[in-house]
Amino acid sequence: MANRNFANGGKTYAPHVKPVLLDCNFIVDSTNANGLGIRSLKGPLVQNVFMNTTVAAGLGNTNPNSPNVAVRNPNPAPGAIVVQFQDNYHHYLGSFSSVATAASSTPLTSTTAGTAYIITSLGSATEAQWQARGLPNGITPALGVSFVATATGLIGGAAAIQTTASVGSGFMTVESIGNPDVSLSPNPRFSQGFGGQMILQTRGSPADGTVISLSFYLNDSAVTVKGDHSHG
Amino acid sequence: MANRNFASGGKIYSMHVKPVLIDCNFIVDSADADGLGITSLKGPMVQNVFMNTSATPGEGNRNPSTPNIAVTNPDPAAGTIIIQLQDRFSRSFSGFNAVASPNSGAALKVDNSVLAAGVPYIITTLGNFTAAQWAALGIAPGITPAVGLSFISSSVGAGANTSTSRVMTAATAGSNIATIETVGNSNLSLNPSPTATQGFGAQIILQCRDYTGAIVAPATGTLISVVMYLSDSSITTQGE
Repeated sequence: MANRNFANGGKTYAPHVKPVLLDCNFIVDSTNANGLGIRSLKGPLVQNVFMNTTVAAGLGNTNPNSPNVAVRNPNPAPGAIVVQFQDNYHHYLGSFSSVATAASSTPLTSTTAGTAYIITSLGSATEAQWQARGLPNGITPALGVSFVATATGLIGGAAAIQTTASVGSGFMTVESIGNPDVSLSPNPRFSQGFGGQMILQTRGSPADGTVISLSFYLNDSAVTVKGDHSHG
Repeated sequence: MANRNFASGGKIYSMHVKPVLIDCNFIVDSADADGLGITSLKGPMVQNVFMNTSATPGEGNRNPSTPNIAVTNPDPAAGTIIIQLQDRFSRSFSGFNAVASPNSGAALKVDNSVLAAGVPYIITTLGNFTAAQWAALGIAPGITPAVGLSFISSSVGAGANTSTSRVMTAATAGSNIATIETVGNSNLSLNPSPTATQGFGAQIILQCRDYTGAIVAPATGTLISVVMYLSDSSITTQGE
C-alpha cells in the first residue's frame, strides 16, 4: 500500500465542529429477487439503499438499535434513490457521487487497440495472453478488471471481454429531493427503524449493472458556527 | 490565507481506517507533441494521466520506486482517461470531478464595445490595459489582472479600439462532456503486484460521455480535475 508520511498528518480542516464523511456504493439491479432495486451495498453506517424494483418490494437491513423493526423498500419510482443511515445527523453539508458504467452485455473474444474493455469471462486464457492484449503486468486478470487494449486480435482461451454500455450509466446527475436537513434526524421514538434518510433522484434512469458510489458530507454536531445556516 | 481556527480541528470523521483523497488536474491536449494526450499534469502521488493522442505516444513519468522502467502512453481511444498513481491502494470508495471549460478561441478586443455586460470573460492577452482599466471593465479590487483570470464584465468595453489586451468567452459547447464514468471495477487494478515491473502503482480507467451518453473526447484545452477517495488500509469495518 501507499504507506506514505502524508503531508497533512491525517487532517483536513473544515469550519464545522464534527463533520462526517459517509460513503457507500451499490449496483443498480431493478429485477433482483431481493426486491431492493439494488445489490451489493457496501458502506459503513449506511443501513439501506432502496431503488425501484420490478419484483415484490423486499426487506432491507434492520437498525442495530431497533433490530425488531423491519424496514421495507418503499419501491420508489425509477431513478429515485432512498438512502437510510444507521444514525441521525444534524445537518447536510454536501455530497458527491461517482459512477462505474455497466458492461455492454455483448461478449467479445478479440480486442481492438486503444479500446477500453472489462473482463467478463476469464476462460482458460493465461496471464501472458491477457498481457499480450494490454493488461498491465502485475494486475491479476479477474472478472471486472478494466484495461486498454494495446494490440488488436484474439485473446484466446475462450476468454471474453465487453466494452462499456454504449450510452453509459443512462443518467447525468444525482440530485437531492427536498431539504435533506429535515429528514436527517427522525425521532427514534416512532420506531421507523432507521436513522437519517435522504432521497435522491438521478436525472435519467440508471441502467441495471451501473455501480453508483455516493458520499455524504454531514454534520454530527448541533453546534453551529458563524455562517452556518439551515438549508431551506 | 484563511488562517482560521477551524472548528473541526482538522478532523473529518469517517468509519474507514485510513481514507485518502488523491487529486489531480490536467489540460486535455490530444495534439501535444509529448504524446500524452494531456499537458500540465498536477497532483501529488499521481504518476501519469494518459489520453488519446494524435502524436506519437510518449513516455510518461517513471515511478520513483522503479526509475528504470519506462511507462508509455497506451494511446487509449478518444474520451478515455488512464490515471496511474505512484502507490498502490486497497480500495476505491468514491470520487468526483470538476471541469473548466476551454476558451472559445476567438479573441475579443476590450475597448471596441464588443463585450456584453454581465458575461464572464477570460483574459487571454494581458496587453497594455492598465490595472485601472481592467478594474473599470469589472475585475474586482485586489485581484491582479493575469492571463487566465475570469471576470464578469461590467460594461461593453467602450474605448478607442487601440488596446492590445484580449479576452475570450468560454467555448460555446463547453468541454463537450457531461459525465466521467469509471470503466470496470477499479478495486481490481488498485493494487498490482510490484514484482511484475509494470512501472506504476494503482491504475484507474475512466471514460468521458456527452449528454446523450456517448463516449466523447473532451475539447482540447479543457481542464479536468479528478479526485479519488481511496483506502490505504486493508482493514475493513462493519458494513464494508
